[in-house]
Amino acid sequence: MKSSIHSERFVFRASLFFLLISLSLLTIFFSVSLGPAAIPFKRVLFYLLHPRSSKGIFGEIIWEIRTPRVLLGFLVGGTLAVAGAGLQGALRNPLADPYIVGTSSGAALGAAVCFILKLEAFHLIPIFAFVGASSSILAVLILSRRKGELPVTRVLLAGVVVGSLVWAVVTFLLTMSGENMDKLVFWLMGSLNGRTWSDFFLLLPYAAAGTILMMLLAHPLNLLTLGEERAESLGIHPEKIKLFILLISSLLTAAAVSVSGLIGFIGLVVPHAVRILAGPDHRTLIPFSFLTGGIILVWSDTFARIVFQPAELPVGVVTALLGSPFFLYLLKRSQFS
Amino acid sequence: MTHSIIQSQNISFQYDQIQALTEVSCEIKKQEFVGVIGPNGSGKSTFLKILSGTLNPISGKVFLKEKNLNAYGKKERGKIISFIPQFFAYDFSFSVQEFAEMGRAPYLKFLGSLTAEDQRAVEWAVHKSDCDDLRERKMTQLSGGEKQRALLAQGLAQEPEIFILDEPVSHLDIGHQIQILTALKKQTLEGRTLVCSFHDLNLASLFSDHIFLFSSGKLFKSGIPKEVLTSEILQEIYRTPIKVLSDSNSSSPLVFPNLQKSNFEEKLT
Repeated sequence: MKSSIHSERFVFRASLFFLLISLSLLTIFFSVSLGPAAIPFKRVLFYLLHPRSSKGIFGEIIWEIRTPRVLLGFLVGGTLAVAGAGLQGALRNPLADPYIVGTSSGAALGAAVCFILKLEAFHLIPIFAFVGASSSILAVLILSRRKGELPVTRVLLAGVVVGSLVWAVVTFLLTMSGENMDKLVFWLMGSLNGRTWSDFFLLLPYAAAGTILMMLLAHPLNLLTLGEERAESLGIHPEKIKLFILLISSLLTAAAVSVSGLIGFIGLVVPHAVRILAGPDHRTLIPFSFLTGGIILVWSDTFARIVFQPAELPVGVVTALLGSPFFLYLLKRSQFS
Repeated sequence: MTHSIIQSQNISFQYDQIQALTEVSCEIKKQEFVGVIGPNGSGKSTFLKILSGTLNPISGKVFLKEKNLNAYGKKERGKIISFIPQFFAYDFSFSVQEFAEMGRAPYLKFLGSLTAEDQRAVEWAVHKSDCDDLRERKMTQLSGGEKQRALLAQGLAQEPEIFILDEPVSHLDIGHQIQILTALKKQTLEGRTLVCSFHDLNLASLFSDHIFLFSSGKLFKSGIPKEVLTSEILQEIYRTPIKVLSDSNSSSPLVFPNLQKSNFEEKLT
């Protein structure tokens, strides 16, 4: 009986994993195929399978414009979803998301400082963004902590306060710097427009390292959901693990913000959807959230770039349109203490 | 079997200037069921947290098997003591089976996959806590009594020598209270030691071999139920008229508020 429970669970999880992998590949393929220049699916497939012979205008569009943007979108979506899943587990807060608790704005502040100091050419943006993101999450925790606990609503309120304050500083700094505001505003609103392979390769190491570290901490994360005292009695250091997870989550957020600006709600919606499908075990939640986040962001971005062409929406607007009603639904449904 | 398995020496604790526990010394024998009672805010929870090692005392020491509790690694300690804090809201939809499996954490390697031995322990714990029919159910869909059973399964899966529980039955109806406490009491027969706080003095009286009565952060009285549950002591501590029924045959006295309905009906008019 016991082994049947375990093998059933394994089969279910493995099938879901393969389903998500297939969906990811299909999503990437279709998104690369869609755009102002009508390129037949067959040609797209040919170009994707033969990168060496991708000469000519279509090859250029596929390999230099669409593919890096779609792959970057997938990576950003996955990264934000993993950051959100980690935050929700570590804070035991179903409403946590990098955008809502202020890590994204902190990352934006770091990135803006990097721009103003003209250091962006040295691949330092993610580092600056990480310092900003981790400082703002620590500020939120200090502000919301009460009698050694982190009440859900206080964390959200502190997140809003820190987020708006940081946001004001970012806007002030950018206005004073005399940079090209249009470009910066579009970046801050969250967009993948005009991104290239170099953005993809800037994000890749952070996304990979952060996601792998988060997966290694998946079992302690499960224990953290039990509360600090129970988790400690099960043999982990809850404070250390929590801090470590928050830092990894900040790193992931910072890296994503560095290349794509502020894209909200992916980190909130995706882990919830995955929990409903596959359960809350972080050992599956983390990898499944990565894939689902990638899929959802790529479709959002596809929508953002083709629906109003030749004009384009910032993808952050699309995810906010999808995500805020979902946030309200969760807010109404959950019971706070 | 009159060996002391855990003892505290002059442990004290304070939260933000408020003295929560003052110089508590006690000794708990192996295989005993110890009931911890006292008014709200008397230090019961703080005492249990320190005893389980999840809170460090400001002064004083706890000895587990004659070795300082601080000298144990967390995992090592997790194999000996299982602490179940007071009931909390739980928003994560793990199945009861998965929830019970978390109890094996102290035995697992980093990535946490279960060996055959772990699976056997979980199986046993699920059975002992009467969760056989719940294992596929989600934690978020359980009633209060079922949740408490799932917590019990998780705690038992730890295969602890000492089980410390903070008010495990306070939110349950009398049927579920007796069910949970009976399952716990049976564990003393298997060699485990139980330390369990209560609000209900009669349940404490019925199930405990030994009772610790706390008042204002001090261990006011320690002894067998008959010695602790007397009307003089309880009236002093709880500041209300209390009657205790105790006959010489029974080791568990019964405690009542010593009031007639007419007493306060008179006061009301």
